[in-house]
This record gives sequence, structure tokens and C-alpha cells, in this order.
Amino acid sequence: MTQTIGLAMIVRDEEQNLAACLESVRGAVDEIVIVDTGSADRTVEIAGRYTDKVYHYPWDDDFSAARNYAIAQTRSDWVLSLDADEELDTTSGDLRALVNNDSGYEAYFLPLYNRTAQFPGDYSRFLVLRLFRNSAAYRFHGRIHEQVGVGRQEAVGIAEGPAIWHRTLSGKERNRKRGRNLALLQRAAAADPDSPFLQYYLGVEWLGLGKAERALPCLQSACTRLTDAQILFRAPAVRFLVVCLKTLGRLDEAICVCLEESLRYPAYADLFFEGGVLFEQKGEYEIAIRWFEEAINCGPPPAIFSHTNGTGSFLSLYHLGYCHEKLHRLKEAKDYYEQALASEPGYVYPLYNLFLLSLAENGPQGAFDHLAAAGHLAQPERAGALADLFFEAGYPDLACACIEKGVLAAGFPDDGAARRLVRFRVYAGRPAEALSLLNDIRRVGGGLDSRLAVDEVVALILKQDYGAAKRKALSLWSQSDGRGAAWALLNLISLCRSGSRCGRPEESREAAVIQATLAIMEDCLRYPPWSAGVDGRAYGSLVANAVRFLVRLSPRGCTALAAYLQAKAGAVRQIMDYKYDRAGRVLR
Amino acid sequence: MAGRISLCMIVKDEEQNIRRCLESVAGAVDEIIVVDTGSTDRTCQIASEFGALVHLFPWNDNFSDARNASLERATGDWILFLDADEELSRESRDVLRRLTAEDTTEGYFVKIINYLGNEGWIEPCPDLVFRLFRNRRDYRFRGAIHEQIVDVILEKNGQAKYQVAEDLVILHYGYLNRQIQEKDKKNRNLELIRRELAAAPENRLLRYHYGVELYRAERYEEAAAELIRAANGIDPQTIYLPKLLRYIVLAYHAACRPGEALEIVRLGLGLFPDYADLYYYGGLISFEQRDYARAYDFFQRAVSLPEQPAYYASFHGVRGFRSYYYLGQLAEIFLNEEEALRCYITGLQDNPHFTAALESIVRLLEPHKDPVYARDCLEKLCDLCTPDAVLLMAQVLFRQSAYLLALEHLERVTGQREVPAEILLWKAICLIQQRRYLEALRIIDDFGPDHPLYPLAKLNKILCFWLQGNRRRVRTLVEELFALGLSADTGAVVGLLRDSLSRRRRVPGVALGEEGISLLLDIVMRALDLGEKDRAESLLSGLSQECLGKNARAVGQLFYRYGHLEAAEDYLRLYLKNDPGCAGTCFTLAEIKCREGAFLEAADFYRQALTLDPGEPRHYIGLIRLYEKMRREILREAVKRYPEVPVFRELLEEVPVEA
Repeated sequence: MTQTIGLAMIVRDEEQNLAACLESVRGAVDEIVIVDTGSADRTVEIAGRYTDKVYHYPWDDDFSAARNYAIAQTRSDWVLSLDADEELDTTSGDLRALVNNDSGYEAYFLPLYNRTAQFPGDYSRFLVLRLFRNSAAYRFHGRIHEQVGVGRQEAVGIAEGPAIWHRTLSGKERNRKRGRNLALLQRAAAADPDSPFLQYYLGVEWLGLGKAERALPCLQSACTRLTDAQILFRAPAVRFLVVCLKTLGRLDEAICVCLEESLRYPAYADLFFEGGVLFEQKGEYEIAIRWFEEAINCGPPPAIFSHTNGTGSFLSLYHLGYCHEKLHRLKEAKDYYEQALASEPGYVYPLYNLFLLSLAENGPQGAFDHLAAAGHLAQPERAGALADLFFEAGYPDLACACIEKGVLAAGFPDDGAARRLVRFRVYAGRPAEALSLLNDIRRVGGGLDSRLAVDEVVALILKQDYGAAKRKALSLWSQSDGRGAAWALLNLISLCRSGSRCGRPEESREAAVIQATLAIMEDCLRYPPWSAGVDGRAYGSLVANAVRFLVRLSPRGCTALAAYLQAKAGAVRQIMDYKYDRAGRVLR
Repeated sequence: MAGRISLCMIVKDEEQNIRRCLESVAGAVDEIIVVDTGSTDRTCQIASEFGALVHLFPWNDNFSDARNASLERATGDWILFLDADEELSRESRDVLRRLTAEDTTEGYFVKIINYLGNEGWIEPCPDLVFRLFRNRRDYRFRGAIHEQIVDVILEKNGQAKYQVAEDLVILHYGYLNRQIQEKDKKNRNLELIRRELAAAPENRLLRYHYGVELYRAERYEEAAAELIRAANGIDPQTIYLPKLLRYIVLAYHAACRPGEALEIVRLGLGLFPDYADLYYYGGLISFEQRDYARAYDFFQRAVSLPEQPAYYASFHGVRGFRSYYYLGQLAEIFLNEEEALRCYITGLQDNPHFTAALESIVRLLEPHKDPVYARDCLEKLCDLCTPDAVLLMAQVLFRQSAYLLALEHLERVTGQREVPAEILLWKAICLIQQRRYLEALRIIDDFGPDHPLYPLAKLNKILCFWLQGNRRRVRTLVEELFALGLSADTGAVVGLLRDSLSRRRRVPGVALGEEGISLLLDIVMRALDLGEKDRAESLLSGLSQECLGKNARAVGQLFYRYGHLEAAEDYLRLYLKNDPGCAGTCFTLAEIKCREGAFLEAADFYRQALTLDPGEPRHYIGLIRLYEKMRREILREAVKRYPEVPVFRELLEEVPVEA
């Protein structure tokens, strides 16, 4: 007979997340049970759209009690337990297939992915016990970080899928939860000081709050007392311990942990990766290289080891590139960066290093040719990233080329790319082309954000169309985030046109005006005076007027300008340090 | 009880050397066996004068046979083996007695100082050789060339103990260039070793020597290949391994394979992390590759190393003046003249004959701008008590176009001693540059028409009158000079001198070749040195547009050097039109704009220079300094505009002021 599955969850104030969670289980479960522990927002209303089984349970500082209450309301043969900030991803496996096979398992570990940053490949993976038979034997224990107890280990299966994706929490939300968790955990640990699990969770929470010195004894105690039978916890505990020691600057001790544990788990890529990072931090690049190579040899570890995606592949490849770069083996460095990019196209950091290496070695045009020949412009995302890099490095002409020859030539008519291109063209000495492209964007109904609106006014000033420039600047005033820039532009227009200022902004707006002026100056200073066929004097006079404006504006204007110039010098110095290392610092 | 010592040697046509050798051992050895392989000079007679037993041995293309012939006749307990171009150092005579009193040792590696001399001064390069060993019947040399006896002794007597005796010193003059050429050693050795190697292809040491000879014969690719073969699978304890590694580096470097050379440096330093020569050559190659960061680290390591063990055969100066010279060059590349001076001075103190450092010091002191300061510095730095030193200094100053100081030094020597005619002419040139035309002409007129320097003297005579604007005398002298028959280029320059004084212009202008341009630039420089800017420009205006455009960069640099910023800018912009990719020109233009206070234009030029050539540190530093300068300007204006705000004055005081 076909087994049924019920989702049991507890929620509080989850109006932001709940709908996405419930959408993700649509069709995958037969029953949804939601227990609210006191929401003050629209959570209950949203829950009501998906199920009739919404219950209330008075919160008593005990997660297990609440969860067990939810399970008690569930009628299905199996229980799936999710949090509101999680989603089920059935592309990697089918829930119903798991509960209907004849393996004899009573419960399953499912992979839980924690997204740590913004690109697709950046996540870490844990196993969590979230699918189990609806039986009185399986109930949650512990007031917090509650676990389902399953007596017999052999009755628990490990499933490749479906996966649970945990959402990235906003910093505020995370800290709110941490503060709440910590209080509960401390109470629990006081009641049960021998539990290595509680020590582990305490360590993790302290570490998350940036208190590594308080996390350390917890994690050390957890690592010592957890056994290999509890590898699900021990593996992440070891990794958090390494992170903790690293945060405290105790690199040698962290390395010792990696060494010891790598002997115990010789196929655990994450440990070799962490060890490599530590040696890299110490400047021992040759040794670091061997650790990263070993991490790659390991590949992804068995599922029961908590694992950060890429430690056995692209992350280690990236670090290998970095170490070789530090050892002046530029060819190897580039090879590894290319391999890292090939291994995980979503992970773009290697592209930055490739860009810098190539720029230092071949100059801007050479770097462009090299990166184009390596095929990076053929991928719209990378071409866009490279365009930004060229623009930031002061080569708006090449930034244009990245978009024009990369993104557009590859046939990706993309609004975002077009907007960038407008901006790059304004400062590449092609204001007229920028303006006509802008008209195209408008024609298809696109609005301008305030930065692009500023760029448009600048283009008009450069073309000495002061009337239109003034009109656009005035309309920028109507955008709330554009007022500082509008002030700055109106003054610049007036200075360019007649050499006089048009007035002083009110005190409260001054900072925004200064910032906007400096931003315009910075962009104009990117202009390549050597590119053919453009009269660069317009940029020069705009910059000169910006300087004049700031100096006359106020002491604050002068201070900001001086600080800006100091930062400019500092930025060049940084490139020198990167390129010339010790020689640059000592001899300069 | 010290044993008796037999000196053994083989000779051929060594009358130049053998006396020095035998004098050095007189009384220190108990018998002298000389085997002569066919001298046609007085070698045998000289040997006999020192009481040597001279044996004739017909040469059979085999050094070992000849050497063994000398051993056959030795009767002492110990053999000391010397070549005629070597001598025993004075201090080693007692050491020799002490070493031969030793009971348990079968032989000694002793220190040999090879004198090399291809850079104008003689430099010692120490090494270890096996030259003192017990006289036993079965200890005989083996190998046709680079004959060896160490391994033979070990074969015969497995218990044999060797020692290194660095205090026994042999001085070897055979590497001095003149002598190498005299004997054509290279080709002779190459052929002999090649034959021997064919018979014993497994002989690693022989292959090493073969590689070295190939290197000396400038066959670098082959040398590298043979040396690599010799090094493959070698026991790291092998005493000549450091030298072998250095030769591989040298061979790769000379074969224009810097990547391979640097790889060997890396491997070599893994085995011998204190080997100064590898750091030095690593630095040199990195420097040439414009990898300044690495070059700096290499040279810094080189100068920080202690005395090198003798078996490294370290080249003279790699821990000293040579590396300091490059550290100075690096500092200049990073626009740090103070540090550069410090490095050059350290280098010069390490080796007072090292003219390259002196030239750089003089250049950095800019004696054409501030001769008094430069003079004071140089007097503090250099010991100028001998006429030779003064003359050398004068030459350096002259080459750096510091005419006033050069003249002062020349006057100190020309009164005291006979100097070459060329030096006299230099003196005349220096006098012209002080507008002391009459004295100059007195020297110039002493050059008769037969003298090889006559045309140059005559040209300077023309310059005397040209600088005074004497059109008539210039025209006559030019006709006289033409009559001598000048090269086309020189003739054209002389013609330009003449025409520049007349109002008529020749159209189209003159196009000069390299020789003419270099002469013309020299004259332009001398005119600028005398403050005759208009005269210099009138001379240049006779050039064709194309020719001026091609050389405008050098012209612009000259005008810049003598402080004519506007003219310099015009010439440099002209050049940039012809060669828009020239980063150096952009950089100079940036410097000009920066000095003129046109900061935004300067920034554009620095950025352009940086874009065209991101490998040049000064492009970054110029930009950094510019931003700092702009910041100072802003702060200064802020102090003026807002005197009531104290922070600007404070910030201004914090900013390091440019020297």
C-alpha cells in the first residue's frame, strides 16, 4: 500500500518565507500541518491558504515540545520536518520513492544545503534527519537544536535527494535568531553539561556572534567528546574548531588540528582545503600547494561528512592559482585559475586574478586580447564582469569593447548590458553614442536609475549641450536619491558654462553633494585621452571645475578632495605592492 | 717529521711564466721535476737555473701521460703539482711543511685563486683543486685532459683520507684573457675532450669539462645540453656540482633561455641555499626580464650572504659590488635616487676599480647643474691621490658632460705628465664649454693635418667660432674641413653648422643618418650646456621634418635636461605623433606638465605611459607623486581660503615634502 507523507512544521512570524516553503512541497506531500507558536504577522493567514490544519501552541521555550505537538496532529505514515526558511528541492530525488521502497529504513537523512554567498556554486552541505515514520518512537528531544531520536542506527538511510535548501538569512534576522538560541542553549547546557551536542551548538552560536574566544572551549570539548559514530556532528565540529582557531590568529594550533584530523579522515577534502588555507596564510605557499592538491585528490567526501562545495575542486584550484602566483609561477597560476573557472563557471573570483595578472603582464589592450582569446568574452556573465573590471581599472574603452564584442556580439540583447554600455561610453569619449543608446532604452520603456541619469547629464555637459543638461539635472532633483547629484551637476553646468557657481546647498545636503561631485570626477578621470578621434579637453575641464567647486564649497569639500586624492595615490600604491612586492615597498 | 716534497710540472714554451712559478717554491720543495713537451724557447734553461731536473717528453695529445712521466722521476714522499702559469702564495710555504708532516692523510684539496680579467680589472676567483698527494707508485694521472688523480687514488686505496686545506693557496694566472687567446686553449681543449668523451661517454666529470669548454667557445646551446647531461642523476655531494649548476645557468642565459636558467637557479638554491652566484645570476636574469620584484629579492640575498666556501668557486663581487650595482639600478628604476647612490657608493667601496658604479654616481649627482656640490661629494667619496685616479675621474666626468669639473681634473694631470692626444682634445672641448676659446684654440692648433684626430680637432675649432656667431670664420674653416674629404653624414652636420648662421634656409631640410644624428645631438647638447638655446634650435631647424620627427625624442630629452620645458614639450609631442606607442615620451611629457603645475594633463600622460607600458615602475610612482602633489596643492589653497580651520595646516605638515 502506498505510504503517505505529512509535512509537520512550527512557525512564528515567517510571513516573508512561509509561502516559498509551502510552494516547494506542493505535490510532494499529502498533508500539511502547521503549528504557530505566536505569530504577530500574516503567517497564519498565509498558512491557511495551503492547509486547513493550522494549530496554535503556546510557546514555552522548548522547540521539541512544539514540534512533537505538530507531529501529534499529523495523520500520514511518514513525517517530513521543515523550517519555514527552508525549501524542498525535488530535482535531486523523490520523496515518495524513498518511503515506498522496501529497504526497511525507518528514517532518512536528507542533504541540507546552506547557501553562503550569492553565486550558485557557493554552499555547504550537511545531512539532517528530517524524514521518519510517524510513530510514537520518533519524537524530538532537546529544548533547542532538537533531534529526532532513532534507536537503531541501521534503520536510518542516507538519501541523495530530495535536498533541503536553507535560505541565506539577512544579518539582522540571523542575529535575532542567534540571540534567542543562545539563551536557550545556555540553559540547556547548564542542565546537561555532558552533552557534546549542546557544546557543539553553543560553539557554533558564539562563533556566529563573533566571539571566538568563547566558542573555543565549547568546540574543543565537542571535538574531544564526539565519537566517529556521531560523525554527522563531529565533522562540522572539527571544521568550526579550525575556523575558530584561525579567527583567533592561532594558526599553528589550527594546522595541528587539520593534521591530526586528516590522519583520522584521510579522504576528507575539507580538512585538506582548510589546512592549505592556513599554510597559505602563513606564507608557506609550497606546503599549501601540496595540501590543496591533496584536497583535489580527495574530491567530494562521503555524504555523512559536512562539506563545503568546491573544497575538493574549484576552491582548491583557485587557491592553487593564488599560491603559484605568490611564488611567481605565473603560468601555473593562470592555468589553475582557468581550471577553477572551467570547474565552476558561477565562481568568478579566479577571473579577477586572471584579469590582474594579465593586466600587469600584458597591459590593458594585451589583457583584453588575451582574455578574449581565452574565450571569457563568449560568456555573457564573465564578459560583464570583465567589463566592470576594465572600467574600474580606468579603461572605459575596453569596458565598452567587452560588452560590444562579448555580450552584444554573442547575441544577448540584454537590458542590463545596454545600461552598462551607456555608462562606459560616456566616459570612453563616446558621449554621443551613449546618448543615442539611452534613447533606444527609453523607447522600449526603460526608466533610468539615478546613476545612469547622472551619466546622461555628464554626457550632455561633455557635448556642451548645457540647456538640455540643465533640464535633465533639474528632473534628477525629483528622484529622492538624486538630489545631491542634481546639486553637483547644476553647479558644474554653471561653472562650465560661465565660470560661476549657482549657490550653496543646505548644510544637511552638503555631504551628498560632495560625494556626487567626487563620483563624477572619478568617472571623468577614467577617460582615456589617448584614444583616437575624441577631444579630451571637455573631460579635463569638467574635472578642473569639479575641483574648483569643491574647494570653494566649504572646508568639508577641501577635506573630501584631499582624502580622495590620498585614496587615489593609495590605490596606485596598492597595484605596485601587488606587482612589485617587497621591492616596490622598499625602493619607492 | 715532514716528508720530502717533489714539485712536478709539465711545460711547453713557458719562458714568460716559469720563473715566477719556480721562484715561488724555491726553498719550499726539496726537488723539482720539469717535463718539457717540446719547448722552442728558453723554458728549459730557466728551469735548470732553479736546479730543476728537466726531462724531455714528446707530446702525444695526452696530458696524463706527460704528468705521469714527471711522477715517475719524483723521489720525494709528497708530490706538489703546479702548472707554469701558477705560483705558490708566499704564506703557503710554511703551510706546505705542516701539511706534509701529517701521517693519516693521502692528499689535499688546496685553494686555487684563478685570476680572471675581462672587465678592465683583475678579479680573483677561488676554487679547490687536488694538487698535493703522497708519492706512491700506483697513484698516476688519468684522462687526456682535465686529468684527474683523486679517483685513481681512491680506487687503489679505499681507505685513503683526503682533507681540504684552504690555507695552502695557489695563484693561477692562466685565465687572464690575453693568455687564453695566446694559447688558443679553447679549441685545443675542445677537440681533445670531445675525442676522450667519445671513448668514455659515461664519464660525468669529463662531460662537465666538455660543457664548460663549449661554453667558453660560445656554443651555448650545446654547452647547456652537455652540462644538463652531466648533472642528471648526479650525487648531490659531488664537489663540482655548485660550479656545474652555475655553468648551466650561464649557458641557458647566454643561449637566451631565461626561463630554463631561472628554473636551474631555483633547483640549485634548493641544494645550495647559500650560493651567492646563483642569487646573483637569478637577479641578473630577472632584471633583464624586467621582473624587478624578484631581481630585488635575489640581489638582496646575494649581498647578505657570508664568505663562500671555496668549492663554490664564487665569482668575485657577486656578494658585493656587482649585486650592489644592480640594486642601484633597481633603485633608479623605482625613482629612488638616494637609495641608488647609497648602493653605488657601497659597490664602489667594495671595488674601487668598478667604473660603472662611479659613472652612475656622477650621473646621479647631476654635475652639469650643480658642479660645486658634485665636486664636494666626489672628493669625499673617491681617493684621488694618484694621477691615474684623477684622469679616470676626468674621463667619467667628461662622458657625463660635466665639463667644468672634467676640466678641473684634467688640469690637475695634464700639467704633471704626458697624456694621450685624445685627452688633450677633451681638455680643449672642456675649455670651449667654459668659453675659454683662446686656450682651446691653442691646444687645437697643435694638431697637425697628419694627426688622426685632426678632423675632430678642426670641427671643434669650427664650434669655437660657431658659438661666437662668427659666420665668416666658420665658412672658411668649413671649406677647409670639406677639403679633407668627410663622410656624408659628418659633411652634412658641418654644412648645417655653416648654414645655421646664415639667414638663408635650405629647403628641403637635411636628413641625417645615425652617425650624423649622434654628432648633431652632441653639438646641440654643448650649445644647451652653454645656454645657447636659440643657436641649438637654429641648427635643428635645418633638419628635414621627417628626420627631426624621428629624432625628436632624443632632442626633447636634451631640452628637458637643460630645463627648457616648453621646447622640450614641442619636440616630444612631435615625436609622439610619429610614434604614439612610446611610453617613455609620455612619461617625460608627464614630468614636464607636472613641473609646470598642469596636473590634470600630467595625470593623462602618466596614465597613458602606464597604459602603454605597465611594466615600468616609474609610471606608477610618477602617478602616485602627482596625486600627492595635487593633494598638497589643495591643502595649501584650503589653508589660504579657510585660515580659521586648523586641520588643513596640520595635514599639510604631515605630508612628506618632496625633495
